[in-house]
Amino acid sequence: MGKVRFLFFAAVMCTFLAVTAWSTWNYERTFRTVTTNTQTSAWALAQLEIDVYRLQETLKLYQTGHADSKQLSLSYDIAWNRMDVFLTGEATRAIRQRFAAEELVRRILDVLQRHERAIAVPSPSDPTLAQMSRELDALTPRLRDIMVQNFTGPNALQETHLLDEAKIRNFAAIGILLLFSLIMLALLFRESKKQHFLAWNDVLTQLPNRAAFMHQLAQLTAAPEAQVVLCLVDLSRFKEVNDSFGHAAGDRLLAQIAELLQQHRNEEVYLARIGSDEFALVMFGNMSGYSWFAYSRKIYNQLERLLHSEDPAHRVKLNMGISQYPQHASSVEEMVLFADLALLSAKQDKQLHYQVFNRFMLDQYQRKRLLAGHLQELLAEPQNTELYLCYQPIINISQPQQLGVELLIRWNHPKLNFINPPDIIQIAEENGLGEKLGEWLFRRMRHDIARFPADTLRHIHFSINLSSSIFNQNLVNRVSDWLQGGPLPASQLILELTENIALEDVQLSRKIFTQLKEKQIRIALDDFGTGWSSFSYLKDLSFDKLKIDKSFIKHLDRDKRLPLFVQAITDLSHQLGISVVAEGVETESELRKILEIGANEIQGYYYSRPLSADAFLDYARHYLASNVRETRTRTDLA
Amino acid sequence: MNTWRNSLVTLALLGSAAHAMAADDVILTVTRSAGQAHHFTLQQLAALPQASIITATPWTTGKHHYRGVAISTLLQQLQITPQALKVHALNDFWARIPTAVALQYQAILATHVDGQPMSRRNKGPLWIILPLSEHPELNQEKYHNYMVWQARTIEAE
Repeated sequence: MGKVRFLFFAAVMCTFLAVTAWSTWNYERTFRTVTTNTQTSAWALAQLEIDVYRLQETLKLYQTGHADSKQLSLSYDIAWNRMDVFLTGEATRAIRQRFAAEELVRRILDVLQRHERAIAVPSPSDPTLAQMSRELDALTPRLRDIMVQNFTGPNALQETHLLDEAKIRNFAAIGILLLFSLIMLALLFRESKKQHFLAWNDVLTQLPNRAAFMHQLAQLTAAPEAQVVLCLVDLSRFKEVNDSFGHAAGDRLLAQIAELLQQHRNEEVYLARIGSDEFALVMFGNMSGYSWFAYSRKIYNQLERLLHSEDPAHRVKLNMGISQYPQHASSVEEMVLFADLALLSAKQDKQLHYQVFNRFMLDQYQRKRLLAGHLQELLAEPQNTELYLCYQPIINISQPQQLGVELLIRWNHPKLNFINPPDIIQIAEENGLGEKLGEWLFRRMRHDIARFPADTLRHIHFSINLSSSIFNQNLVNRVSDWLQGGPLPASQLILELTENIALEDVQLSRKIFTQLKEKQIRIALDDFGTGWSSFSYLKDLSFDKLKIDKSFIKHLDRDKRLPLFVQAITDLSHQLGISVVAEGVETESELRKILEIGANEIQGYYYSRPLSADAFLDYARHYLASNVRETRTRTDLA
Repeated sequence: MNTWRNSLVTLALLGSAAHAMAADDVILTVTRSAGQAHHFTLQQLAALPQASIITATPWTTGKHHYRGVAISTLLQQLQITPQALKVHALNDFWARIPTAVALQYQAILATHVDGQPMSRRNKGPLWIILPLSEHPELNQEKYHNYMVWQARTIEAE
């Protein structure tokens, strides 16, 4: 397309040049013809007339004795020469051929030539001279006529006409040039308009883009007393539509959304597409006062309906986050940030996908930012006391000489007290600190267990929770590095994964699992029962352990249905060769029930709450001492 | 001057009386700003180094051979270097020729065409000739006007 356009412009430029050259040449030619014709012929005629008149005059003066023979001869020669010139050469050709001028001049010259002798040897009283004078007198008025005709006759006009024609041709040429210029201007104008549109608009939906959106927001908030409501619309898990149905389908959905938004917009709503799956509705004027809520709810419902029909699997979720200027925010940047926070809150909330910004969201955001900063500092100094590990024992029913333990992270913040462990993980993940956190965990564990007697440590199996960012191809190398230098052998390490971590890419997960197994590192599926609890994990990935979530264990003894699920999971796991761990066992009757069902390992307050490293060491020593003794006794007895 | 005229009177060219131009008739007068006048007869001009130009003109048919004295030669002879030459003709026509043009294009004061002296009836006795055929750029009105025929007097300016 660009090449075609270039050729077109080149052609236009060539036309410009050609027309200009032609027009100049044409005018030049006509001008030359006209001027040479008019000027030379006028001059030649006028001179001819003068010279003939002079001859007549001199002739008369000579006859009356007032001129001498030399003067007569001179004016005779001059007239002759003039007529001779007139009758030959290119310069006077045009005039010669008009008005029978040539014939007349020849006749006059003939008169001169016939009386040559009378001029050569003159006598004032020579009747031949008088005869010559009469003959000239008879002819000269016709010379005058030709003069007049040449100036005023149709031929003179014809010359003007020629010039006029040239003028018209030039006007036509200029007209063509102007036309081409206009076409070119129009094309350039269209092109620049298109460029302008592309700079400020999104190609797919034709809506303004993020740059235009920010510009518009700044303008809308610039007016004093301006009120603006910003509503951000976001599709979570939109990527899955692209992944499973192709980008064309994804694009179509986005275009439909844009169309729907366009249909419902009014003159007090500004629309923009500000991200791949993010739209903005800016409401101003009256809309920002009272009707924005109803309007945005309506849009929400309409979009919901559209998504339901276009994405029958309901994977894509619609979220809306709203902020108000100046009620919430004092600047454009704040307004966008606050709407983003509301949107984030909408995404995280399972029920309310429509959220209006409130101060609590900002507090949360600021708290997280603050914590992120702190966490980064803490992870940099491994020996800090704010961040530490707790150890919760896991009792192995069939192998009492072995003791399991799960490492739990604790953060005792000086101002905010204890931070919820999932929050710590989330903050680390959101701020790219996942790997640092993993490294810290291992380092702190090694530090804690350094004083464990080898005889005790030998019997303890450590479970560590992995965050999603470290679950990648480098996991095995990294964990091996972190274990380097002991004292814990890889065979005593269990990595706990939640469903969502391993689900992202089953192929990759399988590869990582194989690598871990080669190092004798075991893998546990954590919190089973809280997520999708899909059997496909158990089918596709070979876990060593399965941890049943505490929500299945609590009131297990009193509920009628719960044991059915737990029993089924346990039986299936056992048939797959997976060991079952029950989490959150708190009472003796829960323990009895779960033992009845056949769980292999028990974790929970019934045995012990999470302990400090020292306390856990004590616990482990006692536990192992009594069990080893018991086992020995039993063996001895046998 | 008188002895010149007397001794050369017999050498006057004869033929047709009207065509006849006595060799000792003054045919060219060059005047200088100081008021000095230099007169030349055809014979005197013929005694100066000759130059020729073969050219066509708008007033003649076909190319002809013109011979005479180059203007540069004439100025050299008179040892003058004027800015321009105002050439007057017998018929009261005149033209002002920049000396630079006359020198650059080697203009001549032609006295002969195709070996024959030029009569008054045929643009003689002197015709300023520029080499139009050799230099097509000269073929325009401005230069045509410099080509004064029946030249008689030159004012050196």
